[in-house]
Amino acid sequence: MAHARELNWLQRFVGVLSLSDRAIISVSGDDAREWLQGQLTNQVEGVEPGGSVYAFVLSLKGRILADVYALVREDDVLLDVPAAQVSALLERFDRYIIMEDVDLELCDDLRVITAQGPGASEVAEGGWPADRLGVGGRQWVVSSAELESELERLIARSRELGGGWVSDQAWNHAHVVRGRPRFGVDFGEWTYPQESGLNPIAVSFNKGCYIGQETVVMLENRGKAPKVLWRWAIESAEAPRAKAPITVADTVVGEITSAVPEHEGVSALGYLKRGFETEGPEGFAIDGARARALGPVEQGPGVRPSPR
Amino acid sequence: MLNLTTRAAEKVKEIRDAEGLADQGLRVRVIGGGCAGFSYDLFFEDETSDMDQTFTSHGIPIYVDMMSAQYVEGTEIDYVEGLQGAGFKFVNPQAKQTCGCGSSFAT
Repeated sequence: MAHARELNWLQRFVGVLSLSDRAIISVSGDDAREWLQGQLTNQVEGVEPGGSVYAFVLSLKGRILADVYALVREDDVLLDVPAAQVSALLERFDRYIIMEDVDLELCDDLRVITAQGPGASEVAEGGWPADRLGVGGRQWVVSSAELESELERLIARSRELGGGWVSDQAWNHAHVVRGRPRFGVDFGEWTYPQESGLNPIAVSFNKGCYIGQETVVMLENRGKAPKVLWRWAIESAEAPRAKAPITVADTVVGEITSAVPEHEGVSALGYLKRGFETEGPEGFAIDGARARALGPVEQGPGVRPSPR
Repeated sequence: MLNLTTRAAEKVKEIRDAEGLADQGLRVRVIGGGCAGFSYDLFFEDETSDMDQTFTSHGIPIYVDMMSAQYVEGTEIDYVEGLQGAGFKFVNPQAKQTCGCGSSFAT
């Protein structure tokens, strides 16, 4: 299987890579924390410098505009956001600064390096906790000039811990195997937090108001999400295409968002419509191949707190 | 322009007197956040700046900074009491949407 060694590092030792699809926005000013509290789905107040929070930025209608790691420093909070969403986020954030003492700055020169795996905290000092696969993780923010040397240093240390450098392909593969959805691939502006399966780590239900909260709370307390992201095992040698339909008999009950070939068969993530959670005698099929529903992403290994 | 209803003005005076702030005005502010995007903020203040618009309603000075003013122009502030609680209620003609509790709005 492709990437087997790197997947093993990520799950049993530690893997290091630069996250080129993430960008950094600095939020500073006397009102920065209080203002962020009204923008993000998770609890920001009370987090000490060196701490971090995973959260969503939602639209007014409650859909996910971005996933964010808020990295707290003494004088500001760095928001690690999807690079593809930077312009939209800056415009959105700027709209909701009225008279608050809040400054936003796109830090073009900063890059994110992460170490993921049970040994992540032993790779280097500093940085912030950022568990992106449910096995433990840390990340560091460095200038672009320092990127190569820092990456080399952290990779060398990860080798001493039994791991090493992880390619983007292996990184993406690991997300599917662990059941950890990726923004822009498995969830995004077309999904509510409850559908993504990331609610347990990205949403606080006792922090107070934030933009989009009303829909999220109503969905949590009064109704159910129309669809939910599940983990799948497909009896096929080839991964199905994105958006391949999940069917029961001839009825479409969902669609695949990402899939990767494994030793035997294919691992995948895909949305299952509400009301079709029970397999029934016909069983599920994806692109004509038999498929097994492994369970909702929310209950899988990718969104659990670090086992350490 | 921004107005208080008679009930709201009476309540503001009651709170202001109880807190010994009889010489202070009411600051009305809009802040980013809240379920619907923008939230109202009310507090007593005795200082104004060049950035403020000043009104008087039922004898109570009201201060609104010019950024907030564009979001609350024409708003009436009422005070309501009910079985589910009591509080100031903003009737804002610019609000296209409000959250369930009425403390935040969208334009």
